Amino acid sequence: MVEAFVTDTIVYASLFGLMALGLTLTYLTTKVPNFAYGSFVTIGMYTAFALYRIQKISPYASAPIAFALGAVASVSMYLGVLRILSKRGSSLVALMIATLAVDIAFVGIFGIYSDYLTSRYAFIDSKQFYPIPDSFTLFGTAGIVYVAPISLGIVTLAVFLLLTQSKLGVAMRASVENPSLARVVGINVERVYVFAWLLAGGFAAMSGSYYVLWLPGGITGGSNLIVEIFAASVLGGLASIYGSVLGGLIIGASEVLVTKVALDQLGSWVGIYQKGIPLIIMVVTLLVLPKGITSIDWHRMFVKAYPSFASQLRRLYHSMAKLTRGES
Amino acid sequence: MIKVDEVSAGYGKLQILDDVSIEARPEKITVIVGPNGSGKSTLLKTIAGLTNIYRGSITLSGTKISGLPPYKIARMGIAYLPQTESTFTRLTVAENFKMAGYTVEANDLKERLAKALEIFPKLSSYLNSKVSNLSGGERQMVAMTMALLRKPSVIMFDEPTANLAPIIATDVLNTISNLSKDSGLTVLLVEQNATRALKIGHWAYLLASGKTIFRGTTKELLEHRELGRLYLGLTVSESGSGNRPS
Ligand SMILES: Nc1ncnc2c1ncn2[C@@H]1O[C@H](COP(=O)(O)OP(=O)(O)OP(=O)(O)O)[C@@H](O)[C@H]1O
Ligand SMILES: [Mg+2]
Repeated sequence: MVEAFVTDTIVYASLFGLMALGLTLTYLTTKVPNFAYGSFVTIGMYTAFALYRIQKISPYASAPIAFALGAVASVSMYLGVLRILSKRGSSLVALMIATLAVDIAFVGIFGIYSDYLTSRYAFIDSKQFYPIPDSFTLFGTAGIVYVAPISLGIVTLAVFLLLTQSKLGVAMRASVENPSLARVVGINVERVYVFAWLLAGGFAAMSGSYYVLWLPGGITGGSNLIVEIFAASVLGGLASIYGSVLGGLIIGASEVLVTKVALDQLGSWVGIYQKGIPLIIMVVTLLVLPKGITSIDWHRMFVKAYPSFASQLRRLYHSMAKLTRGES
Repeated sequence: MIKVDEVSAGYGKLQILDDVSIEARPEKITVIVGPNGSGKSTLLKTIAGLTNIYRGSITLSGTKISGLPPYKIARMGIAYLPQTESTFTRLTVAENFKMAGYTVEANDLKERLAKALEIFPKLSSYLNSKVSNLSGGERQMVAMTMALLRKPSVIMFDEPTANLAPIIATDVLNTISNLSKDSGLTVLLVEQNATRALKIGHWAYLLASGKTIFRGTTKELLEHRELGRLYLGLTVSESGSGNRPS
């Protein structure tokens, strides 16, 4: 049996990586920080909850349905709210506040839906529910501990292949860099943006349906994660897909690990401050590394910080080479 | 044939072009000259669908294109080489070409690329480099190739020789000249070096403060003393010999 904090870290970090990847996709394309993104995660939570409780369908099996519902919600929000507002010339701040309003509306809809579940199926826990039992274990560990990181790996690889190998993916990068040039070479940039929002909503909902296999869900379950998701995206530099995955892993892992250390050392009272950790990381990132971790030049940092170490390595290598040639 | 008919256009509520009318014909180079800020680039952007048109209309061989989204205008066969940011710097040269041929069949694209690379053979060794690692002139070559790849019926060049060494600039202008003759292209050309452009062009328009203040043949404009002196920096002594520098 693996220690709980290890499995916690794996699941939490992987899911935040997945969520941050989606958020960054939308931020890259439309440049609007989307505060309703957490609700796309909640869509996944409720898809998993409802299908499990009503039909006994495992969240693994319902994840594709969650993906589709999240994608529909995300695209509708983009086309129905953000694009209309920006066509009317709304400022970035106005758009940002609109996403907050959309989030409030989503939470309202989840409330109505949970009331419906309560009255129709007598699920009294539908506003706030415990984790859904995992459908398999491997070596005594719950399935999600494997599925979450593997899903993150597959999704990241798929996005990488999409962006580098496919024409649509290259068009996405082109539209992000220079939308007006993309338009004049004949790319339907609007459609490319819609596709990015589709993927983002899908990834959010997919992580939501995995999330409730590990942690409790509820009508504000996803919205409450928005700080962590933004922190991960900011840490990744807001403009890098791969940076955001890394950011998600770091935020998720440090939240679990720092809390564990603090709990062990200082006592249980620190537990309530857990949510402050990603906030602190975000503030520090913005102050020290405004362009995120991907802007660090690791090679230079290493050579600068440990020049003697590097040169000793080189000397060691040369003397080894001499030895093997039989010189002294 | 491109026809801009009494068009007023600008950015948002800021009007730049005022009642501009222009015609560009196949197999001919139509040159647009004018001082900095006179609206030359804005005119090309307006044809490409990137500005707000308040009044007037633009037609391509009789079909109205004003009001269409830029990607549709592009797909109708109008290629446009912007004055700035004319390449995707974070993509490789090959990826830029792929994007330029976004609506072109893969096999067609290969053929056209081979032809285009004959003009700039240097580029073939850069296919897998990021454009951000290329020099200004090399980027300009990439941008030119991108415009040619699309096999357009109309091609608009906004200062295609900026950043290029004089000898290559001459090459580029010759290429443009041959294109219009051999492929029946309609060419709209905006150039810094008015004299050189007017020499290879057929029709000329002079823009000032968003208005057309001259329309006629390039020869007429070159020989027009007053306009040459006021707007094209041609000195009086040159205008004495037909406005052509020695
Ligand atoms: N994106 C924009 N938004 C607002 N105003 C703009 C924009 N682009 C250009 N302008 C304004 O439009 C006017 C005409 O600019 P334009 O670029 O068309 O001039 P130009 O004739 O191409 O000049 P140049 O020879 O320097 O390239 C200028 O006053 C400029 O400030
Ligand atoms: Mg210009």
